Amino acid sequence: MLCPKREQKLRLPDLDDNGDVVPHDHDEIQNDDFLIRRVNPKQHVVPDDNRGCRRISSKLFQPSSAENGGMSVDIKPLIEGLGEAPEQYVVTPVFLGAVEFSVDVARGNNLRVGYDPLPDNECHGEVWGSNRPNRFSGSQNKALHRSCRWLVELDDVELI
Amino acid sequence: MTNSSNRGGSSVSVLNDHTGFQAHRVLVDWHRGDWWDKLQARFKELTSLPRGWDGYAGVPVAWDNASFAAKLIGTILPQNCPEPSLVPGADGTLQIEWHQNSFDIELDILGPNNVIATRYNLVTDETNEVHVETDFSEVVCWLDAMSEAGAEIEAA
Repeated sequence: MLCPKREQKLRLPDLDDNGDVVPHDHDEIQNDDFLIRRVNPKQHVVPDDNRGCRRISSKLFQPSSAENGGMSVDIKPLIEGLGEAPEQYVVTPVFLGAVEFSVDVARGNNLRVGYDPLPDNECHGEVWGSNRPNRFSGSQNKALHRSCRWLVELDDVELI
Repeated sequence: MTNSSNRGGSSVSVLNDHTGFQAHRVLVDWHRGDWWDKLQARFKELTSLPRGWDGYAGVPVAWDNASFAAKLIGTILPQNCPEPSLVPGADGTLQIEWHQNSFDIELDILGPNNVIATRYNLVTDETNEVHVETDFSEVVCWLDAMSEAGAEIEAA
């Protein structure tokens, strides 16, 4: 997999005995890279009477609670390295929205950003917690939520 | 779990359909205004989500988690509590949340008796977070305060 920004392949991550990626912080994913999180408008959007809007739920920014579970993301420069438009890649075929946030924000809040290629998504990554991979603190969740911006905006939905 | 005369009750049932396969439904057999039917339909939707519903490897909300959430809603919500939103997690968990009456309250159901509860007070800018296993008394206080604030707004 070639990434035009760096013109090198990302090193494949270590796997555990179950064949799952070991939580890690990948040193070839750079701080100024962006990570994309897909949004399902029917499941991730809630009404917010306090702010008079519909908004993204904080649940969008939580990792899987499974052992070594993380929060799935798409690594934007890898998509661009495939010659594809990220805005199209992450909404094909049915996902109508997407947000993005910088690796720097994740790492700046003691989260780890790793590479976890899947058979159907070679640009897939994970964000893991620091002490417990499968748990983000409230402040870590809030930091991701507050820093994200739309990549593919949903009509009449606020980020927060 | 706190019980009070002005709170409802719920039950969880396992139904057998005529095919002999077990069909599971989360039942909230307690009526709390016009959002009761919507809530039951929402539980059905969440436990029937297709694999990959989140664009990655998301699974439907686990039966145990949905059942616990329904029981929690039926037990700790005050009668005048506004309608909650239910948001699934990719891992079969779900979050119950309200953003009303100057409070953001979120109950992240990681499993039965394993809940991360968060409250943000927009007026005081104060955030509280507790990990709850069996004693939901603090969460009950939060919900009472949010509901009472709503009643005061209506009365004003």
